[in-house]
Amino acid sequence: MTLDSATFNIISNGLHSVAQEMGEMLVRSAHSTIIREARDCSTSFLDRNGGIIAQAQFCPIHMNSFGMVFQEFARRYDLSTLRPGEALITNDPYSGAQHLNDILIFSPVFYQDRLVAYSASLGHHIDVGGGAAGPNACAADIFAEGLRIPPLRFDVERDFGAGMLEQFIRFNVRAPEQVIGDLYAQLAANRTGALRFVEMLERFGEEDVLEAGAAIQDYSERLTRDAIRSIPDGRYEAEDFVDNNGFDQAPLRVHVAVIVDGDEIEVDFKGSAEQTKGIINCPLASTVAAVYGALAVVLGGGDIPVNTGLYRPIRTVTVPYGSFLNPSKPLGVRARNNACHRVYNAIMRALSVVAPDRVLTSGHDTTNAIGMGHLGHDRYRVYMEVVGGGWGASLGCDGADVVDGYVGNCSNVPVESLEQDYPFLRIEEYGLRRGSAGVGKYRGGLGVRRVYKVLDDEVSFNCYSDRFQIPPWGLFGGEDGAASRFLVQRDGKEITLPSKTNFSLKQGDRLIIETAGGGGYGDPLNRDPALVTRELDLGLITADQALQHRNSRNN
Amino acid sequence: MIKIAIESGGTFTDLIWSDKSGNIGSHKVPSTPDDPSRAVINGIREAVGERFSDVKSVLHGSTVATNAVIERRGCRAALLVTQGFRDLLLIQRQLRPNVYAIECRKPEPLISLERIIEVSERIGADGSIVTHLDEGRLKADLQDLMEREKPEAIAICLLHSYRNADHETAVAELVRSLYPDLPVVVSSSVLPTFREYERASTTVMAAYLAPLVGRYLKTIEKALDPVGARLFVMQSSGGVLPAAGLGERGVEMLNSGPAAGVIAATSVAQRLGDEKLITLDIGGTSADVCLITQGAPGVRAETEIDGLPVGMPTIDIANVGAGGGSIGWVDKGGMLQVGPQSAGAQPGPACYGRGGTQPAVTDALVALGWIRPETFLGGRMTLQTKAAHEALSILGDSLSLSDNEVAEAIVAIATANVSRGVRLVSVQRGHDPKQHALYAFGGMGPMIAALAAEDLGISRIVVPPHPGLFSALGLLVADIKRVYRETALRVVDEQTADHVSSAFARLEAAAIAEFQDYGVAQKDIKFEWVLEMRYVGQGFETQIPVDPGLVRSKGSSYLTAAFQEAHAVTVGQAPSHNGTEIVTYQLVARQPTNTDVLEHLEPSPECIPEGHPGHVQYRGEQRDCMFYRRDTLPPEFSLTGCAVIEEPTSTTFVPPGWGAKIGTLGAIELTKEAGR
Repeated sequence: MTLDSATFNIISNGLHSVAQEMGEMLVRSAHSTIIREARDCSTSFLDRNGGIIAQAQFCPIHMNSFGMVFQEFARRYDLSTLRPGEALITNDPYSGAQHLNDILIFSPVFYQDRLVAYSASLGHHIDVGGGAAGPNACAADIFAEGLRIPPLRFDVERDFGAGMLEQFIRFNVRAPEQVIGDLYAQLAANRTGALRFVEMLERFGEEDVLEAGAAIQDYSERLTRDAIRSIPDGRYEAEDFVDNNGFDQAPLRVHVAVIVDGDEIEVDFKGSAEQTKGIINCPLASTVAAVYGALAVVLGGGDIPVNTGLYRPIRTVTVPYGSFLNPSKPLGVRARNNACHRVYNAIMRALSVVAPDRVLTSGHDTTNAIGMGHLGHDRYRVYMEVVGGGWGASLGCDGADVVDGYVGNCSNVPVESLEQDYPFLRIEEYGLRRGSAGVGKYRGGLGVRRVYKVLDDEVSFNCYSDRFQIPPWGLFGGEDGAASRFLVQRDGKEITLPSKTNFSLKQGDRLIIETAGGGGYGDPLNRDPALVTRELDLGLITADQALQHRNSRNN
Repeated sequence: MIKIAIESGGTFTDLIWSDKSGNIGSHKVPSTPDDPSRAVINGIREAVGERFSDVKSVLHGSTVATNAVIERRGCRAALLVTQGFRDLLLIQRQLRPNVYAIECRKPEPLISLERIIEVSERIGADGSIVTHLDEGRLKADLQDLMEREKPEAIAICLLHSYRNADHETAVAELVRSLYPDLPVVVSSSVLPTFREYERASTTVMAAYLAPLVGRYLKTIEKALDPVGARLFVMQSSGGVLPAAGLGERGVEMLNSGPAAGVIAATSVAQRLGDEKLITLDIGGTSADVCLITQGAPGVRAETEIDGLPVGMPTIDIANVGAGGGSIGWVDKGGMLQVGPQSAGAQPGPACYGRGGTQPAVTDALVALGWIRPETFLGGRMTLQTKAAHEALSILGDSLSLSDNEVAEAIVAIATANVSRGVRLVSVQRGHDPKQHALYAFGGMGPMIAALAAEDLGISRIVVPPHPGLFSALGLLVADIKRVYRETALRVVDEQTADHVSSAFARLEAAAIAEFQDYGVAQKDIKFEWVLEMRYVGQGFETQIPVDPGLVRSKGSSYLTAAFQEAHAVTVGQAPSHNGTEIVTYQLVARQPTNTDVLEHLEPSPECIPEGHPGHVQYRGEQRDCMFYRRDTLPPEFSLTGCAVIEEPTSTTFVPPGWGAKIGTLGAIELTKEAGR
């Protein structure tokens, strides 16, 4: 490395702030609650070959998707002919993207008339058409999930506004003001990124900035290799399951073999379930992103900058084509996060044998995507929120209560904001789900209980979730957490809902969402008795759970 | 008649006083963290001696509130919330601080679950009553809470109270009637804006701090009683308010220290004719940066203390972890880092000779010769150059750098961190730093300012008098000021102008009544009118200063145009939209303070410049450098870099290519020489 250490530090911090500022810009100028309040979006800065230099850490599952989508664009177009004012857009899961709601836009960055980099953003859009306002749980294929935007090269001025692309999208989504507003927010974020990057080039010189960009990747690679070396060589296997595909009751297996070999790792998903009908298939990009995300937690624990360098020591990720982790066109993929979470869980379980201090028990580990649609007199209102649950426990730390699963980090929507924007709903209860955590020396996090009162007819409830059948597991003697469940109370009766469903709500209904608690870590008998007493007094754990901590002590 | 300002910091309590005849004096005493009021009271007595009875007003800035939150030393407060929402302080916004970390810990709430009770009531998003308040049940639950937990303050936060406060008011009245001695804090008066977690967090913090802040201020007031001096307290919004009755609004004292420095800079800039400036306040652990346009700093609607949101009007100050004590270290991946860990006052940088072994920025500056060990803190503390060099060489070895090379690298990284802070408040908000003067103060600001200015393309720097006591000076010149807010969502249409006028009229009436209590006549109050607006559908607002005269004469089109212009600067061009809406009405009321005290800071023309030639290391070269004592430099004296200007509380570095002059008020004005 020819850069001196001060310059390297200064430029790499500068690049990181570029991605961060893009992300803040996106959130601040977005229109939908899902981006502006829940922050379901990400930004990234790529070198001219598509290597990721810096990204804003909003949702881990979005992270490496930028790289895979970029490769698809590079395959289709001669990117060297891109002109200022052009951009690239897609949401196609079969072209490296995630699911249709996630629209990616890449803007080329020019410096002295040459293309030097790309600023890119991904927004989860509140609606992309399709068979339901929100997840279409009974979609037979991707066409029923919504508008599929192929990898397109377009000219912003010509094709947005009155242009073909904006109009085409506008006519095919239920909440056009929000979707189009958010697309503009993405373009604004990209523009900010480009501006800041060019300023850096002017300040530090192109050569130094690009060299620092490469050096950050080497830096992450070095740290990752060190971490892998500290794990004994060997083949470690484990499995976990997605509850079902929403049509029948058969669990879908995720089987992983993690092969540690010196300072490199191979990951193999042979033995995982076949692709299936419904929306729970997971496109290859998402499966690979989940592998990277899981290893970033185990190997880095938040200390390694997440960029292309972190991925390099991962020699191969083998995912059999035709399995539900690498489905063939045109299967539905909307709920791919369920499978992604099981990829995380299986890797954690596999490595728990050799790295017990660096893994987590299973948390609720599900994207509880709660969607509702209401066609009022004036317009469609589409509500979408990711409801959190209990986080996994680890050596030395109880699981956090009520957070999003691994692959995201969506915040909740303030109840006061939700009720203003969606007058057909009122929240009657939003609290910790008491007794839901798996006991252990360190307990899992508590899930959440939320009760929606429905104030109008013709409200469709569209959701996907998981961990209804197979609860979050504990490790080393820790117990399982409680499974999730969704109910509707109507006319004094209770209707139990499946984890993936479209259901018509009526005025007066109470929709009850109870999400899973995390699994416990270590023998419950070793838990600090003072904590047990306090949590029992507060009602956070049940009397039965308290007994599990105390039994042998009294015997 | 003496006016005295006291700024309590973690290590030192700074005092500046002035009297009617233009005498001015300063004093510094060690802080007394176990009971900060002791240092304040003793400091006043020491500073003014037998003239104590002349003290008429005392202006105080304190970290007592901030520290109480960080160290969780506030009171046993209780919280009353709407039925069904007892856990909102634990759920928060559902976010994980780091998405790749194994351990996930949310910020610890200030009130634990056993002291949170639910109130049977509900108000809808439109302000209508969904469920009537059940007072009978509330009485019983309150009684149980009192017996069980003996809370020392009560916070009340009910859903949608920013739209209809009737239930909150009724609950507060009930609590007050049953328990008249308990401080009661109501969310709709503390922060009448939507987003229940943020509002609850703010209300809770106010209740949590109320008794402690009240006691603290009473102790000081009692000590001042015999001489009849009045106590004023600095607010995060940058103004002072009389201490009497401030207890329940102790939350407004949070983050007030950095605000005072910004206020001082604003006043000095007015005298020097700088309209656009960026303040740079660097101390031991961090740098505070603030952008000032049109003579006033920006005010932000919310801030965060220890991870907990506080919705209080706060001067928009960015904080970066770069100070004199910031430590240089090599991370696991082999990258040189500076900060955010700081050597603090104990053990301090290696050169303090108190056992510190890791090199801090101050060590680097000592090694490079920019700080002379014998003149540091006016000679009250002799630094150990050898210890600095030793610490630097150990670090240098791991990077194959010499101790001087690693020292320059540490200074460069610290400077870049400072520049990043400046970019944050300028470039990222749509302002060009090149058009601003950089006002540098704090112990370390004047040392780093020119280097950061080089980086940012800034060509004018001002180092005001008393840079190391500048926050205290800010207290002397701060206005009595309060920010009044009201939230009422409204899409802009033909009738909006009338609503805006009547909202401001309401706020003005409230301000006039409150200022009357402070002894301020209506004619002496200056108002500023601000709207927080957004495009329909957006979640974040942009602040728009408005002129009520124009609102009346031009109507709603004026509001829309003003908003669009401001939005384009700070956020960028907006898409096609469904119109604009007003979210919050904000009124700033102030009684301007006489700032003539600044005139007395001018040095005497009789001063005879005292300079000593020496050497410094700069950009890899040994250079000749003149070392001046600031208090010997007369008005209009000018010099060129490389030079260092020393004074007891700070040191100014003038690099090659820069000139410096003693200007108005005795401020050092640094100018980049053309063509360099």
